[in-house]
Amino acid sequence: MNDLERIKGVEKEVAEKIERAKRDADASIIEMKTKEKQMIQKQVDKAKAEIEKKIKETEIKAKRDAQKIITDGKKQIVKIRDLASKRWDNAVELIMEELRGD
Amino acid sequence: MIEIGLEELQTKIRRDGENEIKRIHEEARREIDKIKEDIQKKANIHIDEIRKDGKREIELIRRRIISEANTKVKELMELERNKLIDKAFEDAGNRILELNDDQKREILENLANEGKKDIIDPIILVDEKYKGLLNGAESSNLDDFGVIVMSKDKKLRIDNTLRNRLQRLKITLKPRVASILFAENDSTVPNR
Repeated sequence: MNDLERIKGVEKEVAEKIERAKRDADASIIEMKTKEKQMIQKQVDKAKAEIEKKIKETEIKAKRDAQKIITDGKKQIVKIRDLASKRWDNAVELIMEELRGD
Repeated sequence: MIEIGLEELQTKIRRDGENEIKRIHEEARREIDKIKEDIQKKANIHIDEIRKDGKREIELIRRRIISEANTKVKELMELERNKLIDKAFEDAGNRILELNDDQKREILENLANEGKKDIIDPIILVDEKYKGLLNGAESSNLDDFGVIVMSKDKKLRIDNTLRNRLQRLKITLKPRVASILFAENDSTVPNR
């Protein structure tokens, strides 16, 4: 093998390596592009799941707060009854006066 | 012209090749990074929207649940107040019916006189149960305490029966009764 052929052999070998590297690079780029939807969807799904979790937590907490509001309201109703019972005769007397036509 | 040896030339070709491969890799990596960045940007737009919508929904859910509870409490309190007011009117009506005959007579006279202010020389109707308590009254099947004052031509009629007066009073007297029963401050209760 003469020197020229040897050089051509090396050049060919290197050119093949470069070609392979280009193909691999192109393949990686294409692969990344094809994954776009999948990658976005994955993050969207994750965000949706986080929000769903927060919504459920909010619902649970709000229901607990709502229950407290209702419990407090029922206590208020007992107070209303107590107050009314103390003033009952005054109210009934007022109505009776009007009924009597005085 | 510079002459280089064969070995040196081969090494140079290989080194140039390696540099080219390295450049290709770097360029590919840069492009992939750029694609990743673009993907992340697009994903972030979606995620921001989801989070914004989610935040709004969370706030709405919370507000709805709390608002429903507040409304329910208001309704329960209002219902209780109305029940107590109705009971007070009912109690007053029952107490009237439990009065003795003299007191009932006085009331019937008052009610008849009240009607006479608007109708001259009227017919006074009372339930047959109370006819003996009011002179000059005609007996009628009112099935109630009180009187009905009517013009002779029956065109004018004032219904002063207990049921009717209670109904009318429920409208006009309700705020005062409510104030007596429920006013937070005792000083707002009319002094009786």
